[in-house]
Amino acid sequence: MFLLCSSLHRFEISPIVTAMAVLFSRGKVLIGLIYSTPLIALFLIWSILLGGVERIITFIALMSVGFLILGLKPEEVAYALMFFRIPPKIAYAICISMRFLRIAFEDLRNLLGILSIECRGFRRYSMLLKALTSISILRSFSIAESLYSRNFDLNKRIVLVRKPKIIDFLLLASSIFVFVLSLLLL
Amino acid sequence: MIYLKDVSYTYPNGVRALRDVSLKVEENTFIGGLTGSGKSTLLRVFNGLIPNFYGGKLDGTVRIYQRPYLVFQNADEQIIFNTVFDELAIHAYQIGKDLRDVRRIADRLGIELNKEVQKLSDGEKRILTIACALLGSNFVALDEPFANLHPSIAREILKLLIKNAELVIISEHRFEFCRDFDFIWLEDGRISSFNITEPKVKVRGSCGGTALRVEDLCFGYDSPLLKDVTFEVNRGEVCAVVGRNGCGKTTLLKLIAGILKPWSGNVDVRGRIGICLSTPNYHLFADSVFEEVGIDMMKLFELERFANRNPHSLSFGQAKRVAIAKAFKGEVVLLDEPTAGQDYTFKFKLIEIARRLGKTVLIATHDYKILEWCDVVVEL
Repeated sequence: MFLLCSSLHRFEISPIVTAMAVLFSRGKVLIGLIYSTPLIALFLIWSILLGGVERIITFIALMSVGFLILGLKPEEVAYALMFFRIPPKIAYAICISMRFLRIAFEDLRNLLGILSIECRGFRRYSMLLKALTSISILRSFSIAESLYSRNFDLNKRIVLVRKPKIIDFLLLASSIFVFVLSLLLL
Repeated sequence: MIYLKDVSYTYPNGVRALRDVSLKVEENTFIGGLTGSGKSTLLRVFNGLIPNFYGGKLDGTVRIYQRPYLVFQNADEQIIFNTVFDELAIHAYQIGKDLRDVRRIADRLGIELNKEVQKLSDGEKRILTIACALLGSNFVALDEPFANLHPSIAREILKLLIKNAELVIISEHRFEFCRDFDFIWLEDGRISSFNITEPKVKVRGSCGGTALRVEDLCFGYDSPLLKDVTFEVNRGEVCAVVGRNGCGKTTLLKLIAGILKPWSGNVDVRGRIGICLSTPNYHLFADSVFEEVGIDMMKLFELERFANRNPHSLSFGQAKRVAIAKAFKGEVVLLDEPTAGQDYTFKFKLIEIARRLGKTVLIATHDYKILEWCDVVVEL
């Protein structure tokens, strides 16, 4: 992802980056882009007014990489970090933190659903904020309690339990290629 | 394995949870007691969470020769990783087991390893936490393990636990699972003698017009889950929704409440909806229990002693009861596993309150005892 983002200093590379993001996310990025059409249209008008379409191409590429990152699962990030020799202790700590973010998102979705029945108007959002804060604090406490009760120790032997697949190596190789290409174009 | 002598414990917020508890655990033990009697606290003492994690004041003598693996009351609070595979595999590596053990236990319990935790039902999450316990611990303590489980799955798991572990301690409200266990009854933090009498329940509800009609309802997440569900509940009736874990009971409640939109079919609800899902804190927004439910519901559900407490500071069972009381403010009440975290007598009380207030109640449950008093049973 870092390589893809770094390549975006050359707008000629942007379509390749977008295509790669769409391809490797199996269409998820495309759905994200479709949902962002109003924002893209706004940016398109702005870039036309400023006299250059290259900005919009780069913007779409940047959004595509963003959606690709958003679509990643925490464990994929953890295993990728471990593949690049980041200590498992750090990788798993990141993985657990990201799980917490997912829980918070799930809590938000459930609270919104329940509040849509219980009350209307602006008050709903103040109640949402209050409940979400309280639930998040309780959740973080629970995760800590769970780790403690299970004697979870990041210093213990943790083995890489999932090996990268061919598609992962393919993404890595194409990212390096795009990055090198953008450097050559400088 | 465990020896306690005159153990008393007070939480940091001043709540006294255990009083002069003396016991010896050497055989498989079943701990019973009313909600808030100190069962979960006792299991935390066994596991060492009390006092090491919770703090507070612990008096008396505690001797634990082997620390048990503790399965929490709320499975959602125990799962650390995002996928079923990671949750089992990383725990397996931590305790010196390998992937063969993970696959063996997953096959035995019918767990799909490639699923994401978020897509599991409450019961499936519960099975996952028990699977972690079964992976390699020979001493297991479980806090209400069967609350979200279909009886046949619960019996299967109980058999596995007894076969695989040297010592099992279970804290439960469903006494049908306590055979072949030593029995401890807790009351107000003390060991006491078992005293529960089954109150009589008025069997039929008062029937008026239709309060809820579900017609040809279809819904799914990644794949279809509910297909052509049709039923009708009259005003004042109590309806139970039953089925195996992951069959869509909670989803059905969410569809009736309007939280989810059906793929096809109709839901017609006549009256204001009150809902209580399995996580009670989703329903609690006020600063005190009194503000949340009001004086009448507080009396009906025996919540007076928590009147000034913040609902989020209560235990799972207590918060669940507050959320149920709040749901009863609606005319059509939707309850997801209302007996989870509640004592044995609560199910009688729940039906009795529903009858007395003339509410239309829909209960998604695995507690088959409650079916005896329901007017309508919907099996998914």
